[in-house]
Amino acid sequence: MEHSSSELLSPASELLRAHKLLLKDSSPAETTIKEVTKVLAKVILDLNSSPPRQPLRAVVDNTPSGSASGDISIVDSVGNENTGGNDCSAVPEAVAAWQVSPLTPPVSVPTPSPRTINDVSRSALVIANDKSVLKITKELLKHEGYSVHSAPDGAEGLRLYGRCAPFDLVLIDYYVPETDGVEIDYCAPQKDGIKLALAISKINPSQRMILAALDYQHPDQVPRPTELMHIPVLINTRQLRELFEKFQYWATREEIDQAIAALSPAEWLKLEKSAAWRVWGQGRSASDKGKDLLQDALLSTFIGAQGNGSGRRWNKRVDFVMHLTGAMRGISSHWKDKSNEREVLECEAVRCDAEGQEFSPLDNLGPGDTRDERLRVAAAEGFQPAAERRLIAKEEIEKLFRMFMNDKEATLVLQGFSEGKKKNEIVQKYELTAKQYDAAIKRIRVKLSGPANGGGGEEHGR
Amino acid sequence: MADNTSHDEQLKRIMNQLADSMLELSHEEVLAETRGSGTDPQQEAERTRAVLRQASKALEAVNKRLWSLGHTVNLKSWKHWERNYYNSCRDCGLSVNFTVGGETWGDALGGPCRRSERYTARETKRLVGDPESRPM
Repeated sequence: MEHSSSELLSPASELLRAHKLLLKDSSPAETTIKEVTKVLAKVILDLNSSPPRQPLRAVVDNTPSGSASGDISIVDSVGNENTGGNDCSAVPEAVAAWQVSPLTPPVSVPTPSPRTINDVSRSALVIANDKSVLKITKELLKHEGYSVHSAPDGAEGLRLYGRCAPFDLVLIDYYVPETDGVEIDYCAPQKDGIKLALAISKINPSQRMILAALDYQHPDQVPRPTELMHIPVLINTRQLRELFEKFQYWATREEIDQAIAALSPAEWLKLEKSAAWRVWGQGRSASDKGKDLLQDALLSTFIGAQGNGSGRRWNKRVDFVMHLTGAMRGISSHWKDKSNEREVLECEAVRCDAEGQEFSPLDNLGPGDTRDERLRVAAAEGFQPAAERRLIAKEEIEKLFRMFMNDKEATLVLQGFSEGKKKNEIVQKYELTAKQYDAAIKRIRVKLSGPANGGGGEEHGR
Repeated sequence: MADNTSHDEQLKRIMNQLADSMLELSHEEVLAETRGSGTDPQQEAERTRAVLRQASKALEAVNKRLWSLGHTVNLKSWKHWERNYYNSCRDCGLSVNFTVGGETWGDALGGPCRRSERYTARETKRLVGDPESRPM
């Protein structure tokens, strides 16, 4: 949702216009948004038609530890203070009203003594639909001295923002429903399911809104881009980890056992087959069954439950099947890397000369030579550790396409998969319907799993 | 195939997509597909469950045994090789292996860790002074 500066000149009318537009559409899904827009429009009109909350005084904070968002803060009659905080593009007028107010001459009415921002609590708005995240974040911010407003969704968040902005900090969980109206200037999905985004107000770059996804696997993995160094408060990962521990996000061994016991036959099958396909994709030998991968994932989870930084900890917010799938994905990828980068073994490099005598091109290397040196020498002698595996993969690919040569849709799906395309890309590129895609992938699975092919996945018998 | 990606990368992509496609299926679809491939889903699921239960018990048993002997293994260092997992004591370096079938072997299981702080000086002295008394 881009907002040009001209649009921002009359946000109240803009909101009213948006409200009218929404009213034209009677889609039930937008009912809440309509209601919120209506309320926001009213709030903003009220703000425009009446002077800002009185009395207001500008307090210049010259202390070095002042808010990072600016030196001017606003203190109202009850001593609540607001610094130049965050912005929300959906309600810019509300923000503007509060930001302009410090520039107006102070009204000479009896008021409490001026207080700097260091004397009063800072304010934060947390928007998260997950109650646990909400609880943890509130706890963390309260501990940091913030007075916290919270909302379960974007609509309620905007309503609170309209009423109480500006805030020193706005935290929004990434997957929050009804975030329409929140402008995301920058959103960068990170590795391992971590998503962290920083939205910077275009109106005033010093005002920042942080969108933090808290669905990461481990608090240590939370990335800290340099931009975050400038926000009023940093998410302290150590504190966050402690809070996660406190609220028992990480599963214990007993809870893992319970989750395993609760898995249905269909879930077991999903895991097993998913593992088998993945192992097949690694070009592992027939003796390497999918169950090995599943075992590894499970053992890693058990090890992770001991909480010493090893293994893969199961975050209970994540479905257990999804956790194990993620673990299998990581482990199989690691297998692949190891397979590609492993040490060249002497036995693999052994060759026979013209007289039938065995020799190794690595014989002349000393113990101090690095793995790279060994690989270089071996390659120079024509030895390629991964050559056999590549040959097997080539044959597998050719066999796969031969199997489906009379099934055009399946061939297209396989082609798309081999190019790393996702469902929507394949459907779009090859002009397939979703139904055709689903049917084709089912035919592929069944045919590759069928007894005619030596049994699929686990028993594919390559 | 116009794609210049290596064949093993292509195979990996195809199979990973098939693996992910399993997760999008409903429980009924998974059961039906399993039946369609000529396998009894209940039996197959139970077989998988039993194998994993065994893995869990095996890890527990070997950890318990190592702990009782004073060995400390880096839990992250369990490596999978063929049918077994192997590791070594962080303090004394002796190795330990186990399979999910419950087999265990390795020097670390042959006796207490010589370098473990959990063993008292008296025990160490006894073991050093009387080699015959070393548990095997």
